[in-house]
Amino acid sequence: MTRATKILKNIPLYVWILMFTIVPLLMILVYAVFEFRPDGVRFTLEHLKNVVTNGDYIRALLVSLNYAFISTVVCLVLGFPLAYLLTRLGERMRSFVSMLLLLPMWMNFIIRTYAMLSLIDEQGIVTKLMGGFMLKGTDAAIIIGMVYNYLPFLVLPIYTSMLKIDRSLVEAAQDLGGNAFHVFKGVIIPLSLPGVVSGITMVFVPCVTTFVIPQLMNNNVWTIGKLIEYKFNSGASSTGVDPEGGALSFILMILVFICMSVFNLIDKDEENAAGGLTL
Amino acid sequence: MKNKLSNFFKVAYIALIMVFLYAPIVVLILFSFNAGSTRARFTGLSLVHYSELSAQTDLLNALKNTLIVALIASVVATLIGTYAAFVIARLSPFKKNAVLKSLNIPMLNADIVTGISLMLFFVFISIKLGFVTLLIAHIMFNVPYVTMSVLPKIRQLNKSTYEAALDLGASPAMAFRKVVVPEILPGVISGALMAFTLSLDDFIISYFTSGSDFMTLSVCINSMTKKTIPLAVNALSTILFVAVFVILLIINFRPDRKKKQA
Repeated sequence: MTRATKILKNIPLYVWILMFTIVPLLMILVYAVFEFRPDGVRFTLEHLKNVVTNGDYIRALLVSLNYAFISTVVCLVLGFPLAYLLTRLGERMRSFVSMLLLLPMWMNFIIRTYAMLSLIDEQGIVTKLMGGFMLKGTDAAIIIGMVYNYLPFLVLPIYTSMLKIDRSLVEAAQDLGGNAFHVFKGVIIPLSLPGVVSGITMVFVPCVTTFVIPQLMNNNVWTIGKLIEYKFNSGASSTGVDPEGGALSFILMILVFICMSVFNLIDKDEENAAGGLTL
Repeated sequence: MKNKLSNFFKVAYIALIMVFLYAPIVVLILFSFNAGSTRARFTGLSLVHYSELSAQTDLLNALKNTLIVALIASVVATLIGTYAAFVIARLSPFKKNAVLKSLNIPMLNADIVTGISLMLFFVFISIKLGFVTLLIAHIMFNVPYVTMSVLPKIRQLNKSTYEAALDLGASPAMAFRKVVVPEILPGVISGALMAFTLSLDDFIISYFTSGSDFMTLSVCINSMTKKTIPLAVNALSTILFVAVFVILLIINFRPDRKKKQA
């Protein structure tokens, strides 16, 4: 194969990535700093400035980060032991339980959230069991919604990287006199770290940015995702794009990219990027 | 004795998490058989909400749309993703890294950012939001999952088997079909399934790229959450759940499965 035909074969891929990944992301920047009006296009940094100096917006961002942080910690505390225990099951049982973990992910995200909501709203069984105390509308409801939706996304990558651990390393540690705690701390935890990092990414980023879970579980709080959804939904349809919506999205995009590169620094393994989410 | 105790804790812990994950789904399924019309009280077994489904044209239409989009998007994404994997496998390490990183952006990026970026892109080039834009969006976020699932299989390919086939007189096309395709097929299939699943599951990207006339199931159900959701939604969800459960059982316990991964 000549060099020319080789390059020719690669070009469609580059065009694809450029057109549907890079250019759309640049569009967010474009709409953050340009105003599109019937009488022309105007460049302005006003909206970006407004967005980063608006106390309400900053509060929404901090609230979102807070929910995401708590949810990720809860997922990790629940999920890490679960992943470990799964690897200790017999092979048939293991594949059955990991299928049970995958199954809710195959149901639609909205249906899942609605199912959880219907346990804790006015008519919910949990509400009745707790003597009429309704979780819906509390901070806890948001955390429950997030943990419920994203726990499998954290467990599966950790589980996958634990499965790859060579059993002879564990045996070697035991032979050298390590007790269960030593083995866990010295072998299992360090070797499952890539899975932990990609699991955390899979949970943290969606939790920061989701607007559905706060909307359904506790609509009293404003999160950054809700704010952006509101900006686009109230003004986008007829009059064009709300410039503050563009600016907010741009800030959120920068934040997500910072998260991604931090996790990337820790986890160099590209193969793990799918989070072990293969069937 | 100690072993028995730790075994008990292991099973109890896993069971507890499963209860947390499945309680909402079980209750949702239970109320789909409720004779009454609300979730307030279970008044008796009945299939009334299943028969009501046939009258819920919005829901059924949205289900049809979802299936059509998921099917087309996963097939197209599988083709593009597999092609991308072949291209990427041959690149120099530096280029490979750059291309993989940009291809993987939609996989790691927040859905809301992906959704809005595509929406703004379509608005900018003045394509009306609807079926076409939704389909492009789904293909776009599915491609990297297919590539990531095919790429390891290409890496494992043994070059000499392919060359041996050529030496034995096979044409390149035939060698490809007989040697390469069987080797990468498991990766292609799991990539395609992954893509199909992600399309079914997606809400946020669909919400921003589908416009007001074309609704997927999740967008349709989401619009219903503003009012009281009819129990027909529970009935439909139950049907979907059972369908998915059966498909997963078949995939996981198919007899010819050589190696279990996840």
